[in-house]
Amino acid sequence: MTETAPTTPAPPSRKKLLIGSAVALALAAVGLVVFVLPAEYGIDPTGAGKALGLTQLSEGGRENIYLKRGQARTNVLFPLEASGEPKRLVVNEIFAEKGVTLPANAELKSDRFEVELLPYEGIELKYVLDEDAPMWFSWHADGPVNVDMHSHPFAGGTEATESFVIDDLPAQTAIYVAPFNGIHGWYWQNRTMEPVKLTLDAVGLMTGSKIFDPAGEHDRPLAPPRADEGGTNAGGD
Amino acid sequence: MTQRLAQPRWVAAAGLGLVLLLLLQGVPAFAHDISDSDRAAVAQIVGPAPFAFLYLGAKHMVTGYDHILFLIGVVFFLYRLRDVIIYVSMFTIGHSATLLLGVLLDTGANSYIVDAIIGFSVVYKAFENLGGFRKLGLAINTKLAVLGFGLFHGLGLATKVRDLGLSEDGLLVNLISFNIGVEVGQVVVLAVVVFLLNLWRPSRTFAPGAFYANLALMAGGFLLIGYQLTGYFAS
Repeated sequence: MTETAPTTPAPPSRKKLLIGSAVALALAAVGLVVFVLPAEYGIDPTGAGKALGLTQLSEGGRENIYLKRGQARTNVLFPLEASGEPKRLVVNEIFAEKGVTLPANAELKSDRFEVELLPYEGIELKYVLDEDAPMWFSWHADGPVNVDMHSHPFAGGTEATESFVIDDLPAQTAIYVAPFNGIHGWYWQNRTMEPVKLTLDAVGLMTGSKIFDPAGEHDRPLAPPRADEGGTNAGGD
Repeated sequence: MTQRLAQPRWVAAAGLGLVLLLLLQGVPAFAHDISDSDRAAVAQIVGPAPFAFLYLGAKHMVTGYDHILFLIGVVFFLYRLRDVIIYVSMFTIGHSATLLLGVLLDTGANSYIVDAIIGFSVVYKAFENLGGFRKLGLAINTKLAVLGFGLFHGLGLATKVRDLGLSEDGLLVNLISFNIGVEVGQVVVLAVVVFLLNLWRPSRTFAPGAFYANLALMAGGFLLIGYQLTGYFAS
């Protein structure tokens, strides 16, 4: 490397320096308010972020009335510690522990749903539950998936949708008590570039299930896990 | 040297383009955290995995626009290799100390605040490059300042590593590997930055360009501060 010192430019005058710094600060402020805050946090004081379509990049930018509605409810979702493999699970006891009462001679059904989501693929699974019908569920994926757990009543349709959880999660275990007659379930989307395998077990008073995929809505029969799969055992034993 | 470069202006323009391209590569990871797939992979690592963490450390540095902006500021007017080594060593000592201690002692620093200070370090360095502190009558030991801000860059790195949820098994090996990876990444970044600056330096556009380039750095630093502080208050 040559040691002939290149001339370091003379520092700018005080005036030039201050004006320059002020311009840098102003540019940063404009960039922040117009681009970064709307895109990153959904904070959009000028409205420019919305006009440029930036606010949709941020989860917070989408004012979610469904989530607001769902989270206003209590006694619907009771999160539980994930119990790993839900083998020989005594769902009745869990219900009792959480103070969830089952109607007399109610028959618990169990179901297992497995799906592999390709990169950016999404799928929706819904259970048909009557008002106050409880359901224990536990799903896990081998990577975080974007999930929207929501339901809507038969009366009122999708307009009356309520969301309970919207998040990126690898797993979720909880008791759910249906707040109304309708369909109740999850939309999952894989937002990674790797396929993700997802398994859901559910035990409760479901009377049916539905799948929503790009091809439309399909009725799906409940599929209790086979005994040799070591799945969830409804009822006590 | 100028004569050997037939068209220094073109070279400088191409160089700047390259720098921009490098910076843009960091954009998809704008929050500049460890990516989700890396996080998922690390969650499954139990025990020492030196090369995986070395790679993650290097990747974090090469795609880390905040660290890169600061490094550009640090070496902007350094044309002697010796000076580059002295200043970068100060930075390395600073960030390694807090990276290692921060993770091992499990100190909880708020990552928004730390990242805002990292943004401030960019503003500071650009202002200093423009002779701002001398103009204000402040005599700052520039080497100590780089060391001091290095401490904050290390805290930032430590919070990122802690976010990975490292297992206790093999923690020290993995942490040191990550740290070495950071230095490898830093050398890669510096090689490119110093090379491009040295291409530009002999050109007639350097003197006026240096002023605007440092203002651009400053603006970038201000942007980072605003971004991180908003995150702090919004969270």
